[in-house]
Amino acid sequence: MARFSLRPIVAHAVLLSGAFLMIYPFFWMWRASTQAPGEIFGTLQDAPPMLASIADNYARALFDSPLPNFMLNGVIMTGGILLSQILTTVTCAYALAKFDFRGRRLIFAIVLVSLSVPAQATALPIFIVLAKFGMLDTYTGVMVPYLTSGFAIFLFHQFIRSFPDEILLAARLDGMSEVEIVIRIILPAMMPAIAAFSIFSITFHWNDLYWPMIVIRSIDLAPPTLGLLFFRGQEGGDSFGPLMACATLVTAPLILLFLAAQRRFVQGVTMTGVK
Amino acid sequence: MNSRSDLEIPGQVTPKGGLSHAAIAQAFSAPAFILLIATVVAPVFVVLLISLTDYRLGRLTLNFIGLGNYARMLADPFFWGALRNSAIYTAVVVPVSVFGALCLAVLLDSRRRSRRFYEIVYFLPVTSTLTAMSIVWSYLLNGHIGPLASLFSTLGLPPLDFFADGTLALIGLAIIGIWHLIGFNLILFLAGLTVISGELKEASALDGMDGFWDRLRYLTWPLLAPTTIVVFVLSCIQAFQVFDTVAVLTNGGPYGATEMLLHKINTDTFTGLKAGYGSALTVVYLILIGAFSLVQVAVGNRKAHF
Repeated sequence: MARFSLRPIVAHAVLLSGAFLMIYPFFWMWRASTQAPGEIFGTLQDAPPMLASIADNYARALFDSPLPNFMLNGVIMTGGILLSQILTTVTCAYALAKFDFRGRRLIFAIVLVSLSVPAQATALPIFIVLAKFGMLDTYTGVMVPYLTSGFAIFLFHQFIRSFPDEILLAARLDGMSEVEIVIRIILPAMMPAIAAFSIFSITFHWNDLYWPMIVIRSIDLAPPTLGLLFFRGQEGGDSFGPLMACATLVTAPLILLFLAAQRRFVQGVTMTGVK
Repeated sequence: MNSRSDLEIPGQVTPKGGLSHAAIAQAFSAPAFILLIATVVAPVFVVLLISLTDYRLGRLTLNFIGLGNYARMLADPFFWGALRNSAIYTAVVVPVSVFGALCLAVLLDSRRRSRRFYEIVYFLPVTSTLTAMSIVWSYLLNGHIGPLASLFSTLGLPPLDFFADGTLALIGLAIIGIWHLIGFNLILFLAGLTVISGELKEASALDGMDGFWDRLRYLTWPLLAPTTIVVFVLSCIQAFQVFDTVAVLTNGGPYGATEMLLHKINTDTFTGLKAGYGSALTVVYLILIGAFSLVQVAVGNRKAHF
């Protein structure tokens, strides 16, 4: 009898302590961002009121540092990449799923191969070409390797394949052009898949450090990840509170997006598991 | 694969403008096709070519030196060091994050009301910006300031400075890696459990199997075997791609103790400008990741045929 009542308690204890370890770094980051210099490590006895420290740290992060600029760069790069990816992949996936044409198998093979080529492996040749055309240290330079996505094509292809052919046929009989069909029928029907992919893409590129570190030299063009490293390198130990405020602000958008759309988020990120 | 060819409707519905369906389909797939060639296929071949040269970034000339870079790589203790560190890191992160996630998933699967809460909490690190969180972790694992240091001094233990000591630094990075990966694996296992939950209930009702470990070992895990292999392979790929934490926290140090394959590729190629040598390292990296992906595809196909 005792074991039956004990088991859920043990389960909860394990789950809760794990959850604590997961949450603690976020909690600590937030707490550190709300405290005056020195206070977090217990060296300051007369702590100024917390609200004053919050105002001070976040004001310095938002107005005295280039953080807003970093965030804007991140939005432009992430948004540009996503837009280009959707524009190039939806039509391609539609063509692969619903038409038979010369080159179809070749394209499909290339899509499958591209799934297993990590982005870091192609960095050097793209870097050399960008340097040739003077496109290093530009927004375009950051976006070039990611203008299309084999993963998106594969995913969208799986999704469109099950779309009923009768509807497409009827639309054609009504005199709709293929472009109209894509815009007015395929695109709306694909929204769940597009949303899931968008979350995957936004998460990846907002968090990407590898490629921006290679292409971006000037602090004005840095995305949030690279900007944080600039900021940490420039400021001394006394700007610990503002640094943590910056870290909080950089992490916040994705966390908020996640809390707002948990289901889609989990779908979007775990889709990498079924690709 | 060509089951969709039935849409080639001959005759009665010719698209406006006189273009054939095939031409339209080719036009539709052309942008993505050209971009995939330009940003994936061609660069891979170029990397292969550059790995056979002595090219240095910024130089105008290059010479073909055959397999010279590969010979040099095999004799380079720093290459073996980086490969060894990547392997150790993977050997710590993957078992803990896969087995840990499996146990958590089994515990969580039977929770009804609290399940959503735990899912969200465990998934938070996956969505977080690792660069920012690495800075946070550098304080959490610091030997003199931060919560771990005060915990140790309260317990009367000597300070543990994670990123000053070689072995500890690698373990420190592995802790962050596990923290970042376990929620991702948990979600995959939960998805797998949902699929098999029917079989699971039947079987355990028949056997009257008791005890958490027995059920896990003889029932749940065998049924989850395909999921486990996918999770395992994905975790290996993730672990071999570790870069952000290394770049933010240790830069490969102290004394190369946390130098990993991808970080070494990056520094050799773009800081050391040794593009030829860096490309040879990249080829090794490509082969490793490609091998993992092949296993994943093979398992995925087998699962699909079931």
